[in-house]
Amino acid sequence: MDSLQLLSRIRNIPLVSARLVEGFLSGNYRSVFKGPGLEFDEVREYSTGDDVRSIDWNVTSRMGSPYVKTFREEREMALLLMIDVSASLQTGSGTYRKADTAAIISALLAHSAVHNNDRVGAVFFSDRIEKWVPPMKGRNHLMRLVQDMASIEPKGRGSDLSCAIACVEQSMKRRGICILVSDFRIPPAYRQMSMLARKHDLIAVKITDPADRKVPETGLMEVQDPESGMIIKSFGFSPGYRKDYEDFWLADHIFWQRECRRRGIDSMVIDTEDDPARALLSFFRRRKGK
Amino acid sequence: MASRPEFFWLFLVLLPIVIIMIRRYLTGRKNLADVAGLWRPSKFYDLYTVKNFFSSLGILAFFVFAILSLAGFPGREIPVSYEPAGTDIIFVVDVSESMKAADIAPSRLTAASRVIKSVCENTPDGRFGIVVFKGGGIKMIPSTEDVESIYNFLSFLSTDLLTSPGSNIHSGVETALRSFPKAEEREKYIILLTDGELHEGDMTKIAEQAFKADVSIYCVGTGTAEGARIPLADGGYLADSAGEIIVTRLQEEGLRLLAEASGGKYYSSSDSTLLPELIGIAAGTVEADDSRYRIVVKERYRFFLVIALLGLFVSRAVKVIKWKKKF
Amino acid sequence: MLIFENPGYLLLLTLLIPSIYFSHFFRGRGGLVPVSIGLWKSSTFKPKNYFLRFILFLSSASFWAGIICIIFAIAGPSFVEKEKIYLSRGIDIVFVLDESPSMAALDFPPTNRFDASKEVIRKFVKAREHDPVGLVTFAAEAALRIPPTLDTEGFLDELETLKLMELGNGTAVGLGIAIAALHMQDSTAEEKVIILITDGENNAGEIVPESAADIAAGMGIRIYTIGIGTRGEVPIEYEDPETGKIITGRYDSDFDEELLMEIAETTNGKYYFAPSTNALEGIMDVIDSLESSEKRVKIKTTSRSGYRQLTILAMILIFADFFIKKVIFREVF
Repeated sequence: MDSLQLLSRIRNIPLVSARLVEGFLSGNYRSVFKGPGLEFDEVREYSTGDDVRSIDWNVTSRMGSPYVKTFREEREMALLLMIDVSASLQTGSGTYRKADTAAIISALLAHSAVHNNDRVGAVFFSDRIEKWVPPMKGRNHLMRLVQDMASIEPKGRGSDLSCAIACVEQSMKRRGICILVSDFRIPPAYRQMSMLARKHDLIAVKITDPADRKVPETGLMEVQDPESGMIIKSFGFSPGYRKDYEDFWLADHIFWQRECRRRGIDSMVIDTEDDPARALLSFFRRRKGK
Repeated sequence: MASRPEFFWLFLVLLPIVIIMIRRYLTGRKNLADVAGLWRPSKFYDLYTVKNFFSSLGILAFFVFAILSLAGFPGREIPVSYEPAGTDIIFVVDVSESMKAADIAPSRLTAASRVIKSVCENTPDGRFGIVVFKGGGIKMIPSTEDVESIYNFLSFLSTDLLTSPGSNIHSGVETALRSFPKAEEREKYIILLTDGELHEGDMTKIAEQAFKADVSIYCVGTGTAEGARIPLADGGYLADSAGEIIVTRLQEEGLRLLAEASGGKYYSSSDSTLLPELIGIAAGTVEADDSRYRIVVKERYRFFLVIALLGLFVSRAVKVIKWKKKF
Repeated sequence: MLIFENPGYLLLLTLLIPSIYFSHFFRGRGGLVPVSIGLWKSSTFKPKNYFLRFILFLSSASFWAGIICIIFAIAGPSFVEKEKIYLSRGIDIVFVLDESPSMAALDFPPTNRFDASKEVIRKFVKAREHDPVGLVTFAAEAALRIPPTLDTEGFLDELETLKLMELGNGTAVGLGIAIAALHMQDSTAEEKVIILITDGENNAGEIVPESAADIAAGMGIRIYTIGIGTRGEVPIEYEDPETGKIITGRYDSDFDEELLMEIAETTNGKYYFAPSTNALEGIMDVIDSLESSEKRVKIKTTSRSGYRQLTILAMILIFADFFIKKVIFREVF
């Protein structure tokens, strides 16, 4: 699928998203994503019925009469999409490549955020930061973001998560929602991820491909890793080879799931075969149920 | 036209190769789609088709032109100086029992002996040797200019010379081929005198051997197609174990094959041209003793091999060079 | 000997290095299917199918070996054989060897006169590869054993089978010379030589040695005469060819030196006296050097092209690669 096709598909998302949002997300978006909670608003004089715990002792002593801090619930949240655009996502054995699924799911999330009048930003990363879109509000911003998702042409081939995390940590001072969309064909960076998860609400979305779980039976071919350029002979006709290959990725996947769980990172797996909207819905449902 | 047309049979090998190529292309395209995904623009798969086509074409070109080079086509003619110093003739005489038959008066063996004698008499400066054969070939007179010893030998030529039964032409000719003196450049002939009965051994093989050694075999079939009985000393006739009298007939086919494959000629002993021609062949070379040239035809094969090699390289290059940064 | 007609084509072999590099090691080559097979800068999937990979390696090696064969074939491999061709006619030499019983005298240790003579003749003949040699033996009768021939092998075989006394008891020197001369009459050789080895007096045969020598002289034949044996009483031992009995005894050896000298003189040859094996060998060496003729030799080279074998080999190798990859491994590309 080229970028034009992808763009048209993503442009259609408002319809899907509208249904999603109206049917489910509108009332639940907040409950799905933990907001930062209360935000300091002002100090006012104490009146009866106020919680004594909210008395601001500094001001009270200065002014001589009791003052209390008031808070308001933060209405606006920043949603930051961390989108992996490394070369490994430019593969896929089915109708969509991983990059397509990543773009669609990111666009869906962006739509939902905008619909809830939240700010949405994105960082596209490969082995470097390809593009940084600061969180902003509004439909125009959304359109630009979606355009970027469909048409970004990464300069780097590899994927370096830690540099993307460092970038997010620097630019997102206040608590927000971070959604990391990647195939996790990256060097392990779980320590940085758990650091990020402490500051922000981090959700890891892993894009998988059916060919990694079930290798198609093929003849001999030479296969090249798009990131490292490594070449191996693929003996798709050999059951032993297929089993080895499937086991390799299964082990990797299990490790990833365990690490995420251990570090309290919420994770979601989506296959290129899956319908992204449906997958997202069920994920939200699961998360809400927690 | 080709010097070894039998190699053209190898073209049959191309058929399974093409079939394999087509099958592999069909499964290959499917396999590729399974792995590389349907999301790729069809251009990617078109690239595969085109590259596969040219790569296969290169391999086919290799086989086609390699076969052509094997068949070999006559090319440059190179004159090579050749000065035969004379004629070497080895007579190979069948002394099997059947040579006693009298269908050529007085007997086949006598007729053979007469042929030998007249060839010797009419070839001055020739060199002669005699090999006789029955079950195996035995050199009786080594190649010599001394015709006296040949005549001498002919006077007691008989079927009793050797005791081993049989009629092994193969062994006789082989012995004769070994009897030519080495380190000399002469016209070499074998004159084989036999009734062609009971030939053992492979005629084409021995003819090829003679051809390689530059020896032409002239065969003289002694006997008639009607055949005759084999007289015994007691006045009776040779009979087989069942008691039936054996009739021996001249068998020409094998002899004709042997003669022609080695560059010689076949005669029947009744041919009127037999003696004049044999003598002419034996003496002809001696008359024109000035230095001459023999034409050696160089085979053209390099051109084909170069194209075959090019085919292989093209097939590799098509595969290895990445087209449009895609495949 | 293997040579290449156009060795320049072997330079094509240098193409192999880039070809193999681009086919097997260059990462930017075509024909690769992009599939993510590993974590970036971390673990990568590596197939463990060592056997299959080994077969594949052999298959590719076979392909490149096929290319090498084709390049060698293009360079025009020829098996060249160099053959000596004599352009000059050699000297006809006929040995006339006495085989009377007296030749069995044991004064030529370790053997008798006859075997010692055979031995020197053998040596002499082996050294003369382009001179036709013949053999006449005589005792009471004389017979041609082998006509003058270049077929050294045949000559030596015949020499080996010689036995004493097959021609009776006597010494027909004249007959021996006459028969040798008779069988040289058709010879085209410019020089003809008879080497007579005897130990006795002419005492048999219808032809007296003098007249035989005259005939030979008339035909331009030189006769070297060798008187063999010591004088006086010598032990003798031989097997009677008729009865097969071993006869031993003593024999008063003497021979007609004057006759041999005369024969040699008439025919422009030489007479030698050989009382011992060493002397006999020395005499043969002398005759060998006296009768050396000018040899004109050319080298004939015959070459046999070997491209067919190499091409067939190349086709087999490349077909093997094709078959392994396309049929067994079902190679996609």
